[in-house]
Amino acid sequence: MTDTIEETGLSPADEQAFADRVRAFLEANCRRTGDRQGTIGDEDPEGPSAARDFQAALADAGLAGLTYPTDFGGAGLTKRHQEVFNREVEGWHLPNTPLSISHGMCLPMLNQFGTSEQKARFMADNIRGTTIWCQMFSEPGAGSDVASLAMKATRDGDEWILEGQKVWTSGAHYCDYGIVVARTDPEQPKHQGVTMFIVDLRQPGVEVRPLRQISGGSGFNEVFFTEARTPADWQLGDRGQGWNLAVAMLMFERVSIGAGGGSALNADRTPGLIEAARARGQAGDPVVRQGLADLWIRERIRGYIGQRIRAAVAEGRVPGPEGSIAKLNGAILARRVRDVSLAIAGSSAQAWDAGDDAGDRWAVGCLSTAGISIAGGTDEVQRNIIGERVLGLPKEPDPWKGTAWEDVPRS
Amino acid sequence: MDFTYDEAQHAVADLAEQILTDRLDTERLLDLEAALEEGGSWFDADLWSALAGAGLVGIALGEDVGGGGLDEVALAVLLRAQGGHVAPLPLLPHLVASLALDRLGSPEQRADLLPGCVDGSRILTVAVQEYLAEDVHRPGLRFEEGRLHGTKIVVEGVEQASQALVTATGDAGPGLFLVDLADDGITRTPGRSTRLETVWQLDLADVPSEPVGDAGGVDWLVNRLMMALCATQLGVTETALRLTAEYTSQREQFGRPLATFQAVTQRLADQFVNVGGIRLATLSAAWRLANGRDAGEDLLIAKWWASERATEVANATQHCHGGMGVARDYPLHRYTLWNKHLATSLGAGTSSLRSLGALLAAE
Repeated sequence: MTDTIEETGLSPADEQAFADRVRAFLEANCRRTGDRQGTIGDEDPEGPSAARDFQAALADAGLAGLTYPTDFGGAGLTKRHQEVFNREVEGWHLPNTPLSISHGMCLPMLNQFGTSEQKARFMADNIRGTTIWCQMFSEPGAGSDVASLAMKATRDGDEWILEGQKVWTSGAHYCDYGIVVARTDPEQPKHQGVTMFIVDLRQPGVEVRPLRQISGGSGFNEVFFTEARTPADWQLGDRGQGWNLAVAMLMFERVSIGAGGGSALNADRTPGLIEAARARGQAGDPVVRQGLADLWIRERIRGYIGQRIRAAVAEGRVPGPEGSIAKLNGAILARRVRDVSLAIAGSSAQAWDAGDDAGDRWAVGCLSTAGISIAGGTDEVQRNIIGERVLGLPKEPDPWKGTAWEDVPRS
Repeated sequence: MDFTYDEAQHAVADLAEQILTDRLDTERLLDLEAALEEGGSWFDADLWSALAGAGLVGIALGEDVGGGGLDEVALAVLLRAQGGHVAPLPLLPHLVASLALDRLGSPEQRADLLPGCVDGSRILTVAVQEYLAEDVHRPGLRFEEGRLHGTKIVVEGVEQASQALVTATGDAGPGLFLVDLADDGITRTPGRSTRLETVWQLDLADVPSEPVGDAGGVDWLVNRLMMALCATQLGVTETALRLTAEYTSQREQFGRPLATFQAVTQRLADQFVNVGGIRLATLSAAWRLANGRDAGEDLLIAKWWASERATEVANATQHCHGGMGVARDYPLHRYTLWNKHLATSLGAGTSSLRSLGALLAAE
């Protein structure tokens, strides 16, 4: 299976030259991955500033925002370049996890749905990491049923006034901007009365309170909006189109959780676990071997799913329900990794030296696994999407279908 | 046995439940956790005194030393209650160590140590696990000429305990040995367990020690430890499931309670079966131990359920709580943390399966 020049627009020599450039950058700026496991919601406090520095270096090297247009701060390269980049970064640790939502969800939304003014104003800084962005959908009363969200947006001259609360907002405590969905038209049915906005988080009307989670970290936040304001021309997409855009954004999220190339969350864990099993003298244990072989197969399959989806995204397409397949698969795989890890670690999974960073990180990863099945739409939500949109099964009846949001009873 | 508590066991359960409910609410747990972060210990001293004062801490010890004269089943009942309330106390190691001393110790050892174990003024612990050693029945720690040499890990309650019952191998084979934790030859290194408890590595260099009981003590002790772990986990999983049933009945999405979605209901029903398996296997093992019958098979079955299936319970209960399952402000996370700690104690499910396979193949 050789790609021809016509298909990729990149000659073998050019491809090699680009790969060399990427490799040179990695060698100068990154370290090799040990047994590092990516997590959801647990970030090291140094993370954001280190990520900003790293991203600036990446941009200086012409390697940031590879497939985005140069007019908006991207590198203007092809999807083949992106593939080569993804291939080269395998096995390296890129300290840009705090930017994963900013780049994996917010940037493609700006690129796809932003006005030219919005793109010109925001994209270059986002790509370079000068500004970091987060996504704000979930509310205390709107989890799986995120379309029932209650945060209110009221028009006031050239501005919208935002009132309400968001929750489980990853990274809001270090972000500059957020993409928020709010209810602009409560007299419409729930899916039709919401609109998406860009909002400046560094304003007095926005209060961010970190949530403490099971692993001890505080990567999530509650965000309170009290007469927060956003300019009318920071609206993303049309009024009332917020749900469609939110679905598109959730698909980008699912892709980034289940198929993100090169991210710590998606790094193959089997090689590290094989080493761990050897070190503990368990590489000969049939149960452990079976678990490892099963994981290896599943990580291969994840690789293929991811490759296919990233290719579509790099071509500028919004991922469809295949994002749900990637996300569900990623969550199942994460649980299997945890279970095999526990079987290998035995009693060292129980306790570790207070000063043992590896033990600490490992335990945090283990405890964070559950979050992967929740964030970005639960496993059940993904299965419903696959049932309805891939298999074409009938939708679950909704007794409130077509009813104005404000007339639906809510607890 | 018919799996229902008799009158004495009911009395233990009710009393323990009452004390734990009265003294340990979420607010108290949060206070204790805050103190822990300031360098405090994983130990609710008031609760310990209350349990000891009610006669529960010595419930399974001989009446001649002031104990309640009950057996392993009572011990299971008590630990089940502790697990149900995730009470931060080194109750398990103390109960098992003092029971070993009561049943296997010399008259002098019993008279010397057990009255304090009953009134709670003396706390004992056990030191069993070693690095990279899945088989706790054959300890690598050496007993030579009255002295112990070697390393134990994941020892609980070291800050509170005065003595530890240590498993070691001497010329006569594996056995139990009593050491004074204040001895200069012991180096303590703290670690942290998943449930936030400080656990210790003990390096023993030429530590004077006296044997407790004869050969066979290690198997005796390990059997009780396994049963005790399963009993604690029984309480943990029961409460986690109850909390989840309550939460999913109240939390509404798509205009109705989460519990009315079949994906939720059926998953939780499976967890009820899982908890039931832990309950029956554990109580059966406890009853066999208490009545001098061979409990080997039941213990391995119970430990497998309590490792593998309890992990499923933890995953399902956490998942059905959505984001609340990972939030420290909501009680459920403690049950997940305890489950993980207990599931991996004395080896995870895989090692139970392996031992059970060996046992069946030998028959």
